[in-house]
Amino acid sequence: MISYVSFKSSLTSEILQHLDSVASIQKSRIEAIIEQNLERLLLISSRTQLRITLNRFHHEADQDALQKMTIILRDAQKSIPSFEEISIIDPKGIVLVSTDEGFIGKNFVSRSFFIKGQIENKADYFFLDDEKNLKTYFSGPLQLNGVFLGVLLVSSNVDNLISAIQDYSGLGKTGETVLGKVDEAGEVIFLAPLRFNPGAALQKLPLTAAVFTPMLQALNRKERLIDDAIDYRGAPVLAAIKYSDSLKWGLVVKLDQSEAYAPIDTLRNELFGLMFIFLVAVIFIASYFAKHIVSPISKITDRARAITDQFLSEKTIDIEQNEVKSLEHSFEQMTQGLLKANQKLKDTQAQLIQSEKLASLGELSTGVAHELNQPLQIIKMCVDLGQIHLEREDLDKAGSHLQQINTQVDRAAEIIQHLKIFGRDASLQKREKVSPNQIVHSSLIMLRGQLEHQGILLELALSGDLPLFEVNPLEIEQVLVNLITNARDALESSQEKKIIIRTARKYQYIIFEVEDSGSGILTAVREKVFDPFFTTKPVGKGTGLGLSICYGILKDHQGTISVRSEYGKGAVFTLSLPIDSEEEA
Amino acid sequence: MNVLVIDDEAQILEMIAYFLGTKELQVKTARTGEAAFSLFDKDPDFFQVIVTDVRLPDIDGIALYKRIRKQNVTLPFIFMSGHLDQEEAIQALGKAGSVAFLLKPFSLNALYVTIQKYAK
Repeated sequence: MISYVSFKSSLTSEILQHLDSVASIQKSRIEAIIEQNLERLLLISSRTQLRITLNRFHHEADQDALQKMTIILRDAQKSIPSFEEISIIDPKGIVLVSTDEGFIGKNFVSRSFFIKGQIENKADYFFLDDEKNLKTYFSGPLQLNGVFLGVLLVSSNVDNLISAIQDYSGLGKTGETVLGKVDEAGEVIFLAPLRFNPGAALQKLPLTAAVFTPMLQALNRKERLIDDAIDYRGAPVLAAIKYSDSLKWGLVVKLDQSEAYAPIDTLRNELFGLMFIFLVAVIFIASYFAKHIVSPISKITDRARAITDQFLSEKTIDIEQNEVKSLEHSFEQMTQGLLKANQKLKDTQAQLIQSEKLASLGELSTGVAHELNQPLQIIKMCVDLGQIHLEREDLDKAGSHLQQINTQVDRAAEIIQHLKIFGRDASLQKREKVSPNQIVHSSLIMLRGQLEHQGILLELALSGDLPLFEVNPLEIEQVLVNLITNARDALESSQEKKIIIRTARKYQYIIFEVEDSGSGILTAVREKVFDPFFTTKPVGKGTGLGLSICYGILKDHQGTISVRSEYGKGAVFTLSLPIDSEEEA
Repeated sequence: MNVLVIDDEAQILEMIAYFLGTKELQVKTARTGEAAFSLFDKDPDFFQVIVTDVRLPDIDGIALYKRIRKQNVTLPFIFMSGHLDQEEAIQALGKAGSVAFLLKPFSLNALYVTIQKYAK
């Protein structure tokens, strides 16, 4: 906009300069035309032949003199095409001689061209003829040796003047040269036809424009440039005004502002157009934002509230704010709710781990009963045989049975001890540095017997070169028990019954593998094995929590649990647990 | 009287064999179902009673029972088990008088009495 304003002002001054130069040329041309006409008038009135003849006629009043003057005037008229009639008015105001016989005898005694014409040569006695054509009278005194003889009157068309005025070259479509003067009645009139009002010649200036019109200023003899003028039509114009001292005419050369500023207005319109487009774009973008950002934000807000209300038992408080604030608020509420829910979930998971252990403990009880019954059976029989040997006084054999009883009690005690440890809440146990292989052995205490009973060949491939690692040993043991139990169950209907347990080190991780030679796991099943409550075991046999609990335990240890299996080719479950970095140092 | 005793624990077999030997019984022992079946299979009429643990490393006691029954429909079976709740299933296997259930831990004398009662 700043460039528009400065461009406009420089354009204004450029156009005014142009109008000024046009006005100067027009003024010179018009003054020259009028001067030429006066010279022609003077050329006739100064003819000696004419003045002598007129003087003779005043004294003798002979017809020959009249005849002779008529011939002279006619010659003159022929040589100057624009001169239409040439007449001689006698000092009483009566037309004495004329090229137009109809003029002879007319009384012009009160006409200004006759009154002034006795004293000076003048050419601006404009009038409109019967056909509304602009004409003018020229008049000047006829004298001989200082004696006034009469007035020479010429009526002439002003074609040369009008064609000068109507030369619009350099003035575009709205520019024009306006001539004005103050008439004898003191009124400001247009001299010539106007571009936009051909009948304006000799008409008064419209009153509405009178105050501002440049013509008034021109007739106040001011020559200047005006950039905020109002012309006779009431249109804003740029104008250059001139005043002719010789003619006492005002001359205005003007151009409509609308045309003058057309290029810059185009620029302005383009600017406004751009602003409009920009505005539309802004509105569009705003509505886009409203639709694609604010509206989704509102939806998210609503959803967050819905989630909070439905799942998180937090009462949301509706506060009238803008969408973003509202979203922030709802999000905060949901976050709080989620934090609480997460804590609750953690607690629940801990409970699940414990109940899963109890469940697997129940499942193990069959095996455990067998394990305990074996030593008890041996003890019982040792007692029976011991008594027999005592009766026979075979003290050595009796002592041997007592020794066997002692061994079997220890065996039973170990199983019971392990059950007690296993049943404890492992989540309350601290992590400690243990041997990975020791965990494998611990997990087999209760299982080894079962595996043997089911004819399962157990193969241990334990690395002898493993560092201690820091874990919750009971939890990892629980995971292994779970995996071995699953492997056992998978082998129930298999021909080849084999479980391989491996330990190894891989970079900074301890790897446990439990491989079985069972039927393998279907792909569809494999994707779900770590889901809570997913089980393929018969009703009553598995809770479906085993592997999901294992997953949770491994996650707690920053470890991973994974399975690879091909249906028909067994399955391998792999645990990967990080070695404590301290151990490495 | 020839007795076949089957248990996966050697110590148990050893003590049962010793005790029944003192009672003038001829005892053969096996640690797996398959081993037991091949002993039986040599002469299906050799044994007067079979004493077996329900849980065995390969085929369990009940499967062994079913296989032997195909060849000898009267041979008495005495099942040893640590689980009282297995008794019902065991008793349902055959007619009364051919199948007995002994709950571990039992005394050697209780075993002998049961053998006396059931053996042909």
